[in-house]
Amino acid sequence: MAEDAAKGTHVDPFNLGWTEDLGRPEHVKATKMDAQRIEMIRILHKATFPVRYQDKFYDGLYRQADRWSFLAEYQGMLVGAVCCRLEAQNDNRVYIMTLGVLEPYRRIGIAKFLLRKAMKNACETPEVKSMALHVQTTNQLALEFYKQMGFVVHSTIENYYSTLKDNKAYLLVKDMKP
Amino acid sequence: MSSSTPSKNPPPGQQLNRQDDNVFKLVMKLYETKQYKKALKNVETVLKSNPQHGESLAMKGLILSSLPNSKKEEAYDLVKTGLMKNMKSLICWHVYGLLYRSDNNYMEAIKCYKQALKIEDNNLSILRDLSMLQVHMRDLQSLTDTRQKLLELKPSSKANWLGFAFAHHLQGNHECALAILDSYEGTMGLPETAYDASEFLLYRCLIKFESGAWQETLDLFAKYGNKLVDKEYVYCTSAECHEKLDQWDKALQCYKELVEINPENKEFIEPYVETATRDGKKTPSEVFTELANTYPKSKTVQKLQTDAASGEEFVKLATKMVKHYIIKGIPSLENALKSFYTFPDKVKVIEEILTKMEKEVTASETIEGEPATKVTIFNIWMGLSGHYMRAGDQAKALEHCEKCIKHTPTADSIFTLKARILKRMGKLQEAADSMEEARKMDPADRFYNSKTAMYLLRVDNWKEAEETFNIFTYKPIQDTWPTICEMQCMWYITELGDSLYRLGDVEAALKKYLIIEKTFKDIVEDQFDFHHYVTKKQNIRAYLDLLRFMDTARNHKYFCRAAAKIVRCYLDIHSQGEEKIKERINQKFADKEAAHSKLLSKEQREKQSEFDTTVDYKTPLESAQPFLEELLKYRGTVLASQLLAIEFYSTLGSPLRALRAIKQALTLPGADESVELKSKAEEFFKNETSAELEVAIKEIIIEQKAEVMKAFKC
Repeated sequence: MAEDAAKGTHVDPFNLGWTEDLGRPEHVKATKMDAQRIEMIRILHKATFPVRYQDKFYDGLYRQADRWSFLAEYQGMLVGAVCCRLEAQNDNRVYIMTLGVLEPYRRIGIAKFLLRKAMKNACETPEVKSMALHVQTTNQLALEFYKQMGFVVHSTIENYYSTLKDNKAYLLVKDMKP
Repeated sequence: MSSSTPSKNPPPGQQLNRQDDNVFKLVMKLYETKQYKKALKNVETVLKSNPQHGESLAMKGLILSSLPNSKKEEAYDLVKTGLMKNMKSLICWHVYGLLYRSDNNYMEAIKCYKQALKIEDNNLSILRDLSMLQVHMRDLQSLTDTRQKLLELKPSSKANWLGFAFAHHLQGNHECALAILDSYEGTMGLPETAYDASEFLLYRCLIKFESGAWQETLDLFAKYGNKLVDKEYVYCTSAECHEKLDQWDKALQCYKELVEINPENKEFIEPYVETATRDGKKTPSEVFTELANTYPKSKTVQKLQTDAASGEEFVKLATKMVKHYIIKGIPSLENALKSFYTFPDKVKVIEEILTKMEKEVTASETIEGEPATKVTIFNIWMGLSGHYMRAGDQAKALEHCEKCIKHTPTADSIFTLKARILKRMGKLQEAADSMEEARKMDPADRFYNSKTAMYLLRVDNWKEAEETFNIFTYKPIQDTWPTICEMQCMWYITELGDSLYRLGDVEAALKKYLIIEKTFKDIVEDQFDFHHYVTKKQNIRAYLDLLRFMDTARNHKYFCRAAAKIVRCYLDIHSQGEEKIKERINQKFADKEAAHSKLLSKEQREKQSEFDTTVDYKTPLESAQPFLEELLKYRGTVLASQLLAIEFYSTLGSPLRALRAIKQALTLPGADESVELKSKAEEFFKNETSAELEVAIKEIIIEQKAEVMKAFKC
């Protein structure tokens, strides 16, 4: 265990009870982001988020996100994705832009699996200091979810979601270094 | 050409001094080794001091024609001039023949070679070239004579023996061909490698078989045993021989071996089952069950077994098939089942199977007792969608499609199915949109790309179709159209032609269809290289297949479709006249072509003009007639062909041929219930009985009318 920690390849770096396969659900496979898949990811986002991202978000997505993001395939179909980017301006934190799973495939552990993959990937890179994301303050389910994964509320931002009625957001953060 | 000798006793002024003669010999060598620039330089040196030297003039012409950007006219002029200066020159005639050959003008080339042979009748090089032209033109008698000559002159060449035997074989002189092969084997022995020896022996067996000597063929197979490497051919041919000799048990044994070699090959399984059930002792169902047990992994056996089944057995087998596709999530279920949709009771069974599965998955998350996954219901809905599409209920099909899309919007395969359903509903723009959605989701899939381009052409959106297609050509957009033509992408060319015709631009459409004809000409032309290649490789059986394929290459559906459309366009030109047709030239397309042209470089423009075809405005019906005749030759049993023929021959003024077409059409199944045929016949008789025709012809028509009209049941 000590050698693993030294190497940075510990299975359960945050002591959250992770198993070797990171809780990979049956029939699910995680893959890296692929430039060919951008359109599919756009469709995934449209189906899973109330926020519409602009075209230029997707144009630049592959370039900035491919190292840090993961796609979830269920029996060959793309059903979920976690899109992250490295923010050098925020002290090298990996910022989670989106994490979503198609409705029929929820509640079997795909989101947790994707997040674990993203977190493990981030903490194995020495420069990365933390991970962060924004969540609507009214989104109880999401808050619970991220708290379970070791994220804490850092601050509140007024009027973060300009197009939504509930526009307040929490900034959730997780330290990558113990 | 190196065996050509300069002419003996040349006319005055045609003899070179020793120095120039050596240079001339060098020119020939350089030409043969394709060093055209050097050859040209050297021949000009000779001509400088001997400007009237015929053979040099001819060589210069030939060399010029071999260079890129050659001017054909200049080449021909030079060669002709050279020839005029020295009519008895072997080289001049040979060069002239080569020039014609390079222009694919084989008839003229043969004439030149024959002239050359008059001067020197044992010139091997000329005889060889001539034999290739003769086989290309299928002038079999002359070919045999040439081949005999070649063999007599050089009996040490294996190619000459085989070539001679082959010529006799093509003519149908099987005994002769076999005798030659025996002689060859006697003097030269068998080829060295096992494969070549096998091919030689198999060629002998093939000739034997084609001569109708069934037992002798079987004897040969037995005699050669394991020397014959192509087991499939041996078993297939043996089976046929046994059948001809009424030895059905032995035939069955052969088919059994074939199925053992490849249990997925329909062409082995079907005759096996047919032969096994011939005497009625076993039912197809029993034979298939045996096969399925012996080859449980064979999908073809399963499919054929299901095809042949009925009643309870069909339900069981179909369920097994459907279950496999649903569990594995294979999108092409409707395609696998398509042969069942001509049987209404089978259609009902499929529907019941799928709806039953739907209920089971929704209720208990199981499918036929096995656990279902999150995707199973999606697969079932997709299966149902495809099923309704095949069954003709497009609305229901679309309904299930939408269920799938709502469930998993990232599944590109469902969008393809949706596109096809929309197409069948006639909603072509929506179909193109749906197909484009699928394509965007998987831009690396070339099938999606092609299908999107096709659907875009169907809504006359040439710009986007070309841009889409261009993604896979990896060339600039201006090069797309020449690339399409070079690649012989005939579906694209035809669809573009269809689109232009729909928009009323007959000329542009016809030009595209004529490109299809040009493509087939090129395909048939391409066999020329193999006439030489086979003399080296001596794989005669494959070569024979090639020649026979080329003889009926235009039987292909792409050509026949284009032929029908060409006839239609020419009929339009005939009825509307050149002026009216040109008036309606689709301005949008013409503008697009003009705009395109401006962006092209000189090379690109030249490349595009390579694929230009010309429309015959002066004699449209004359130009169309050969196409119609080929269509009748290859697709005469299709009602549409005969209907076209009736219209064409009536317009042409050949009422008897039109009448023949009507009668031909009536022999086709279901034709007597064709309302279209009946109305065409009525129109024909109405027009022709009141037209000004020769008395004899009119009599025939009037005589036939009653009998023909009586045949209709509608």
